[in-house]
Amino acid sequence: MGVDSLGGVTDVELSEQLAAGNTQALEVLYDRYGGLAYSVSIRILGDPGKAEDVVQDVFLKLWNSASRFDAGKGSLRTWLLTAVRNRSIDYLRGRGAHERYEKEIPEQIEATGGGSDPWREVSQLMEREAVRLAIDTLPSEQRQAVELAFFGGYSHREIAEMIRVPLSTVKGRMRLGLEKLHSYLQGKGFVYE
Amino acid sequence: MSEHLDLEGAIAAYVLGAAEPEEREEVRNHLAGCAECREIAKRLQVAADALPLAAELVKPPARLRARIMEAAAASPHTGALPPARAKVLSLPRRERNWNSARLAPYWSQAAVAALAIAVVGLGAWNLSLGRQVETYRSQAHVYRSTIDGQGPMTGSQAKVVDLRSQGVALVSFSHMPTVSADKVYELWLINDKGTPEPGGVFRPDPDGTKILVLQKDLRGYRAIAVTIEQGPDGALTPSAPSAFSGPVL
Repeated sequence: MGVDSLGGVTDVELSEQLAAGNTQALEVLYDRYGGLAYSVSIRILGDPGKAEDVVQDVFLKLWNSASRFDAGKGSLRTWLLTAVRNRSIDYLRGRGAHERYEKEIPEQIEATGGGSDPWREVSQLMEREAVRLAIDTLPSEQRQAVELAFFGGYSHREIAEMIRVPLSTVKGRMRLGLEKLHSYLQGKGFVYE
Repeated sequence: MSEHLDLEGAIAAYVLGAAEPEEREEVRNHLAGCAECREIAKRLQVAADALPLAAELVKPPARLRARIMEAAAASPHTGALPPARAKVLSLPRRERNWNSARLAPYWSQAAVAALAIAVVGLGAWNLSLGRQVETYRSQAHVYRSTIDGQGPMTGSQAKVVDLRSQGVALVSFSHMPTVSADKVYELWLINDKGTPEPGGVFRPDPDGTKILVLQKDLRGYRAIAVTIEQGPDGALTPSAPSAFSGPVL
């Protein structure tokens, strides 16, 4: 199966092609999510060179272990972006990487992705806009707690010390922020359960 | 009970990757045996998984793709699964949901029509996949503009994403005031001659937001404007002063 026949395949089908060793599936995967992955790493690291290294590491990791990826359990996009986020945080904080990277592949609810290329691209744009709007609607202290944790790689204890509030307050802000984000996305039809 | 509450309180940090290592293990173990907390974790994980999408899109250098493909070619592939089944085109559930859940009726129909056209035309899309792949490589085909409301619409905002490679555009409104039950907002596309063309009508969601999908790109248009018109169908030409307007790239 070549690139021409892979452009419209779902992520689940793409993961099967990756597992089968089809390098053209890797090209399509990169064309589909490489920009997003690079953007996440740039947001965290602010360093184009390191971001390139991170994205390359993650795509190769997926390529080399594609047969272990269970598309029934997780979204390929979520796996990739989570891996990029974790690897970027490891770079940022000088951690020894990879153990956590392997362990923390999140268990997802349902595989996502797929559909035609034009619709996928439109849908991703809409989803990105919705997420940005959702984050904009969060009270600043909740947004701060969530972003320091996710994009800054700080633990909740570190955040509590940094902004001089009790740990329980930080926990509460994280919880409320994520609950509101979930409710917003669900209300907009981006969450299906 | 106290332990349960402590661990429940740490679930948000856990899904954000912000729990301390020991705490992470405790939460993980707790989740294995607590259905209530698993539900919370599942909900919060969905939100955490969406966070990467908030990153501003930055185009990676072209060399990165080549680097990855070269490294993959030189890397022993360990996959061992059989080849995929024959390709079946399908729309994922979430995307179908959008049509009914997110857009005003007028736009729902437009989006459904756009979707139908996209699906029917998919054979042609696949035949020209080389061009599509090139499109994905080039984020330059996406044009963005932000327009702030003026006067009584101060605080409102429209973000325009013009996806020229796909022939569609999105207009994402936020902080839009409600309009009376007999009125609607109408979007106008101002062409190069300065003539407004109807772009569609909408009523914002209760939180003041609305994302519209235009089944055309914005080449040939220099601005967008919004007026308040008589509902439910709006007008063929603007009958009221522009509530806000601004240029698009």
